Amino acid sequence: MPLRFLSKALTIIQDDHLGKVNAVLLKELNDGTYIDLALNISVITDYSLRVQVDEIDRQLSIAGNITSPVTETRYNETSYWAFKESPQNIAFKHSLQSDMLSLQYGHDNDHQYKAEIFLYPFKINLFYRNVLQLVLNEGNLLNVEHYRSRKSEEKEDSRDVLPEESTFDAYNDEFKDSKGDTLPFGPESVAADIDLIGFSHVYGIPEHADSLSLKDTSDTEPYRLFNVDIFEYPVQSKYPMYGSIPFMVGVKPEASVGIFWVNSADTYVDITKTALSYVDDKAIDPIEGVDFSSVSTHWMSENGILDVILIAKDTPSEVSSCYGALTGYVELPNIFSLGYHQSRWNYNDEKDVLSVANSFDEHEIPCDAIWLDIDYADGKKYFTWKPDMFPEPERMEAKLNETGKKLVVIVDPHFKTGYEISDQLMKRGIAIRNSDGKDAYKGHCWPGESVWIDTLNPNSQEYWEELFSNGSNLLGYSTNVHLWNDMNEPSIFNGPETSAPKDLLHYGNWEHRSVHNLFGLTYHEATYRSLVARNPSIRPFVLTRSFFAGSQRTCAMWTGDNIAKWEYLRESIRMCLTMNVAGFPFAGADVGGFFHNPDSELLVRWYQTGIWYPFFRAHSHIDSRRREPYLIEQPYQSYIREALLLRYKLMPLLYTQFRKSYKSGMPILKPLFYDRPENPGTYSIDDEFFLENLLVKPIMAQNQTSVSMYLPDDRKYYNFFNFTETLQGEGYHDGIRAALNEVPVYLREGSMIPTKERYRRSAKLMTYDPYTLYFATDENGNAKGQLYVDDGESFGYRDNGDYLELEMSVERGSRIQSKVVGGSGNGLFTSTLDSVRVERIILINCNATGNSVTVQQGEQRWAVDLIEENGYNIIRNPAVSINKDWAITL
Amino acid sequence: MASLVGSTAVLKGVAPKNYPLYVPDKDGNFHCLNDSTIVISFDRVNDDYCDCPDGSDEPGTSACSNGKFYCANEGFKPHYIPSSWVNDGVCDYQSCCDGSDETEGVCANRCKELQEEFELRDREMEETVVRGLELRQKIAEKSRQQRLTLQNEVKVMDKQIEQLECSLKQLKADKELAGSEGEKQVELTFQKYGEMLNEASSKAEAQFMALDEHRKRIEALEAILGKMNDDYNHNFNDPAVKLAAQSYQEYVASRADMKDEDKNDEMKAIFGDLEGLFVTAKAQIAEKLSMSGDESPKKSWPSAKDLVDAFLGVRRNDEIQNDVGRSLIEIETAIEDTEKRMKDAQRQVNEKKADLEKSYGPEDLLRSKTDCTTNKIAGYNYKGEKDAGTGQ
Repeated sequence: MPLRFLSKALTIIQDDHLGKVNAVLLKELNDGTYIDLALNISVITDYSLRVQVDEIDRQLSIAGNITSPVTETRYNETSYWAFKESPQNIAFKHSLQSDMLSLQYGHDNDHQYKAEIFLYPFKINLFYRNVLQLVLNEGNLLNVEHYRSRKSEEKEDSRDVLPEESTFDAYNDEFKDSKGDTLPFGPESVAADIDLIGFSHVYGIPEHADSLSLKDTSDTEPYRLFNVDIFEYPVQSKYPMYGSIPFMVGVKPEASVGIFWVNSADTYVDITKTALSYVDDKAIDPIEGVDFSSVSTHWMSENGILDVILIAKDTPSEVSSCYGALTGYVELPNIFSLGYHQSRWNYNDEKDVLSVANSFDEHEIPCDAIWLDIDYADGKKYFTWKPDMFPEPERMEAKLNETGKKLVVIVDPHFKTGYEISDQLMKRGIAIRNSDGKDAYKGHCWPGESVWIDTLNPNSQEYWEELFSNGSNLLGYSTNVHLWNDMNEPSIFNGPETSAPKDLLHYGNWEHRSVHNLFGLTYHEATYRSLVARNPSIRPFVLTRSFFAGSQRTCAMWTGDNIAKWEYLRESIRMCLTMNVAGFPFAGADVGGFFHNPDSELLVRWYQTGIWYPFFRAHSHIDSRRREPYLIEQPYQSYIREALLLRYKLMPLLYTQFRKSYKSGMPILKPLFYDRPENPGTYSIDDEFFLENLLVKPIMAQNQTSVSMYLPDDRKYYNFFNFTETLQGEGYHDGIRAALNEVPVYLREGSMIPTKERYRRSAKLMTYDPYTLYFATDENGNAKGQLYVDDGESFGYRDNGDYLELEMSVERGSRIQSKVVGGSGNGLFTSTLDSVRVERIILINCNATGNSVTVQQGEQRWAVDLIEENGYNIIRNPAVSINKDWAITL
Repeated sequence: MASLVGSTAVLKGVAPKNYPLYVPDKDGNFHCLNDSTIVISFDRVNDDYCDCPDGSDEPGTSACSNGKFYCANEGFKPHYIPSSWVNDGVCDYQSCCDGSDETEGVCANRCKELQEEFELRDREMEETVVRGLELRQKIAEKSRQQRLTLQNEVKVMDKQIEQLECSLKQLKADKELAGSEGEKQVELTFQKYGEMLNEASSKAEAQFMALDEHRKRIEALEAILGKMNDDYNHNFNDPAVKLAAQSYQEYVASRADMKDEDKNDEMKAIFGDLEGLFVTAKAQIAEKLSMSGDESPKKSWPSAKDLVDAFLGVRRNDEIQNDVGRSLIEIETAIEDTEKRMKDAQRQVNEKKADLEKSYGPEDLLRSKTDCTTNKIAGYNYKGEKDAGTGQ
């Protein structure tokens, strides 16, 4: 392998205060001459190391060779879309030696970083806490395919084409579907290898229907990131899917790392796991009990600049936090969107929608939203309604609103040619254009020939807001309609790989090639902003199928068109866990499976699993039979209802987890290794997870009546439904009952879980219901947990501090207390919570005695009953208001 | 907490007829209605905490999941609602028009309004019912007429069949008389021959039908594939569908037109066999007749071709010339004809009788309603009564 990179020390400009290094990398060509590459290194958000490489003289070399209006520089705006805001640089100390520039930084002595930047051959060693964690370019695979003319490319013994570079299809694509690609710049890929030292497991880089712990790809295709409408995707595969987040997490007991490859073009990631790794020619022993001791990753993207961010921390939670600080944390969702969503392609008309909603109420099954797929629109022309089926949508929406239910309607980015919207897109010049930059591109999608809105164009926003504004044809003046953005990969039926030709032009004359993976994000963000503009006091809900790093800020995602088969149920949890690792926790899969018909057992198990998806929606294909829960025969219907009631019961807990994720980026559906990164036994487990301190093992296989459950630690776990069955001891526990009406859920000692136990017709109607609190005390009599409360639908929490953060605990088995630790009970909303009380406290393992306990709130004291049950105690109706501190003496 | 005994609040959600159940016992306690062993202090009735498994201690709150809340709805009709609708912020007016399901002041009493609306609707409903009954009367009358017509027809036809049976009996007697010994021999042979020809004919017909069937099925398959080929969604990239479409296109390109010659060949062969049989039969008959010496063998037999033509309907039966037994053949033809007419009449009369027995619902209402409409809703076809509007 030739060493191709040199760094001329004399060109290094380092500025400790500004925290950046500017240098030139030299790429040696076949004739011994060099191409200059700009190298920028900076320390940014939360001490992450950013490395960027770009061509310097690209425009000069291109000049005259290009006739199309395409922008000549490499695409460098991926971070603009992916990042929450432009990151600030952090100062560092540096020392320059003959062969190496060394940077040192960190917020205290215990958390010191060192980046050793070797000049020749170029490579970067990243140390955290004095241990080598990440190495960039150890394998010399870092490359930027500099611009070379077609003539030079095709010349034999070209000085420009290095031995390891290929000229295959360089200036024309022979792939049948993309023959028309004009490839104006020829090959222009970027790539780099990054080694994770001492690591055995890596996670993330969704979206793939694969295991949580990523696989070695030495003998297979690499993982591909390329947003695509994949039809009947197979499970356990590395095929690309609807969305992509080029962010990977590595975990070992002592440290965790993150790699964020900031590139939105077609991307491949190879993963090689090795038993031994050589660092500085010294072999490092494999970690005891772990199969691999080093993971090498190779990242390749079709074009754009090379931009990578390296994160090293103590735990995966800290890595998530750092990644979230860069790209944003999940939005605090409108509370309804944590309820149950009932969707189908399609509910036919207003009567159908209302009858479905009504049937839920009649069967006392909670439901928060009814969804309308593409067939509500007249001829699939979005922003219209089928006049004969939906003559008065606002009347229907108002009817749903009576019981706090919402309507979610679909709007895709393709617009049938020959009606107002597509005409406007062309007239305003905000459609995606052909490669010549002149006319709007026309392709085929649901409505037939269509054009696509270019939401990279800032002018699109104005029009989009018009279409969603109050009084608009689609939304009228409704306050309970939310949005579903589908087909935004974009899906184009007659395009290459069912997507857009890569040489189409977006705003700024950037090729689609450069922005493909982030187009979906620009689209759903435009929708989100439009909904906020429409009604600034309601949190919008937007569901997207396509996504990129940063999508978590404005929407939820689902895993697309799955199939009603057990293996897809199993896969759904793996995929949701991966989304949680990748900073996008508001994820779910179609309950019941989109294609085909599930039998009753599968449907029951799917609901029992689906209630744990952060985004919980049942959806099905137009050819499948109707399967709304109330249509299912008994006893299956009652099992499904019980599962749904459990979801709503846990709503306060779930919402509190969203609040935590909103503040820190932590997963909501939490893989076991996030909970116990020091225990490698957790690293491969992807059929179990935590919701806070509830350990859940959903049943995802047929005919199962008992199950084996893994405990990640030696704490005591209580069966959440009877509190008498317990598990203890790290490792697997066999024979846990799992009849068709049972889901194994265990509550870890030392924790508190807040719930609301009254069935209501929707989440909104639970707002003023009383709480039931579960305390499972540990052997010292201690337990604690948090509860977050706000109005669930406005931005009052953000703009006016109108929220409550409560810390609840039991200390030494003698005193229960609740303290307001954030927000206040005096807000516009929180002051109305005077009437919201704690109606019941369940004490597990508390050994409380006597018939009554003393409650204290403010100056008031009163006695309430303590009831002894089989294995636990109940404090009956302590009747404390939730919005002020209180205490109970046992 | 203040005691609520004796106040109306304690009886919230209780129907007046159940007031006697909500009276404290002598110790000031309440017994769960379905399990009197569970005893709670009476001030825990409607205290928004569920103590009784049957929910009976919380008739006026949402504390028990299985509770029922009584809305008095004065001025309208009283109604029960599920306890989960109580105190959830929703005024459930369609069941609880007095607004008592929510905290006082949240939902205004709308019972008067509702009563008026209800009365209006009631009147409208009554009118509709009257109109409907009239319409029903008309339909029933129409059906009755249709039934009478049918019954008359059956009567007439039964008589016809009787007459036909009579003439058939007569014809059969005539036939007995008409047949001589020698002619009977010939008749027998012809009869046998006729049977064979019948068999051959039905075989031929079966072949035709089978071929026809095959051809129709091929056409149907081609139509299915053609439609798939024209309409399939390229987006879905299903390799199986793509392969099928491609194969279909190749098939269409190389497909030859269907030939009818095959059928003709087969028929020729069958008729060849028939000719052979006929020649043999003729020889045998001639031999028999010459041996008897009784009758002249000089008869002009119809040629095999003539017979075949007759069977295939190219020429009519009566064109076949035969010197002998003309009257016999005539009789035979008459018998055949009568039998056929009888069969037809029998079939028709059976159909009519079956129709008379068929259930057309109460008062035979649907007898006169044979049309239905098809509504296309969101890609599905829904069938319904023509006048009934959109049905699902």
